[in-house]
Amino acid sequence: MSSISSRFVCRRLRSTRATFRYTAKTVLIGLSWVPVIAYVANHVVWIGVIDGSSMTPTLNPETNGLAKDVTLLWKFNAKNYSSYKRGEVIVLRNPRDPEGTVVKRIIAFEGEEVRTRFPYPESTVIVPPRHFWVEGDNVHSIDSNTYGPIPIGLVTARVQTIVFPLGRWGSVPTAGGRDPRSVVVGLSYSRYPKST
Amino acid sequence: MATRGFRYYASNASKFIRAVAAVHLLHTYVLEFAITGGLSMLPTLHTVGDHVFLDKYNHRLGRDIKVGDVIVISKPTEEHTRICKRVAGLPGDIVYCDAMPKAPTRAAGMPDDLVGLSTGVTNGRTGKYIKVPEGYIWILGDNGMASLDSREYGPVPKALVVGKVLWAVYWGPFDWLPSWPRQIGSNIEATDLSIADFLPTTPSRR
Repeated sequence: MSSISSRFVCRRLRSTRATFRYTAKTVLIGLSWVPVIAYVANHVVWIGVIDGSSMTPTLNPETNGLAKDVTLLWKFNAKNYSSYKRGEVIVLRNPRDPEGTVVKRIIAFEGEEVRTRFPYPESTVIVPPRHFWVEGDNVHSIDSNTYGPIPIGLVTARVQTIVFPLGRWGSVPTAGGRDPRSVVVGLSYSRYPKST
Repeated sequence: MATRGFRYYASNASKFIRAVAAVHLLHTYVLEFAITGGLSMLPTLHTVGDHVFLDKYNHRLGRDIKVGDVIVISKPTEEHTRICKRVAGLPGDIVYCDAMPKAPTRAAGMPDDLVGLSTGVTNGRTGKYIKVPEGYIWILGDNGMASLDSREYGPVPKALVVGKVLWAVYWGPFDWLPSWPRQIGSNIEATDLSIADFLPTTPSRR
């Protein structure tokens, strides 16, 4: 009798406490990887969805506001001033709203005289040390012509690759800014001291 | 004895990476312990040897800062550098931009060809009242004679703010032990320290 009944006895292979410990341990190990992912997201590369039409037609060419481009945001080397080239599209913190970010194109570097567009109050501006003059590709963009040159400390990432939509997968072109009316005229600073 | 295989080194390396990432996260987004130097915040901070605690969690990107707070921001005109100044104006405030003498700029360590050169934002506005734009703050060093601050940089975007200084611990270069932490900021209780305490040979007066 006992042999027949033992075949139909359901035995717990593990106690409830052991299962709880295993789950807790797995969850904690999973959580311990979150700072590593956060580090990668903040300092290496992450995905960004572009909002708004200030970089039309380079980014977000659809004007209905529904189709948003998804791009790779390269954060590695983002705070290195000399690594930027003219025409690079960058993500920076909005000078007028610190919680928000804007995407613009670099037009001019430090020490260069820029011919500004409306609504900037002066007709030419010399870009200060370690500042960029950024403009959006769209005529209606709010950019340096509104808030002036931006310091390197505000730059968060570079936009180099479009991931989605797949039809425009590939690098963001460096040429594509508005017509070069805001063209650099000359270097006014002979040198700038290296940080000690 | 079995040799230590890949699993041993891999698991230790992964623990190390996770630990370093966690510390970096705390250091960048919660609380940081930083060393300050320079003349521009006398008498609040010593010229050398002051170590400060920065509250980043509550005050990164200029959240919740008030006039009188001592904050650390990324230096607008230099990369990978930070400066420590006091908030003198919030967005919408009207501040007075007084003229900065050129000689103290030299004393602060600027090379000669950049003395008196301004970022162009306050050019022509010295001696005038300026309204701080939305999203910007006006910062001033406590030691106005030897401080590069908003009188040179103009209003500074709030997004450059790294954190607010809460406490400072002074450990002088010739001291055996650090001093007791002291509070920094606008709501501190009055201490019995005076400027004389920061001078090397003058006895403190009460």
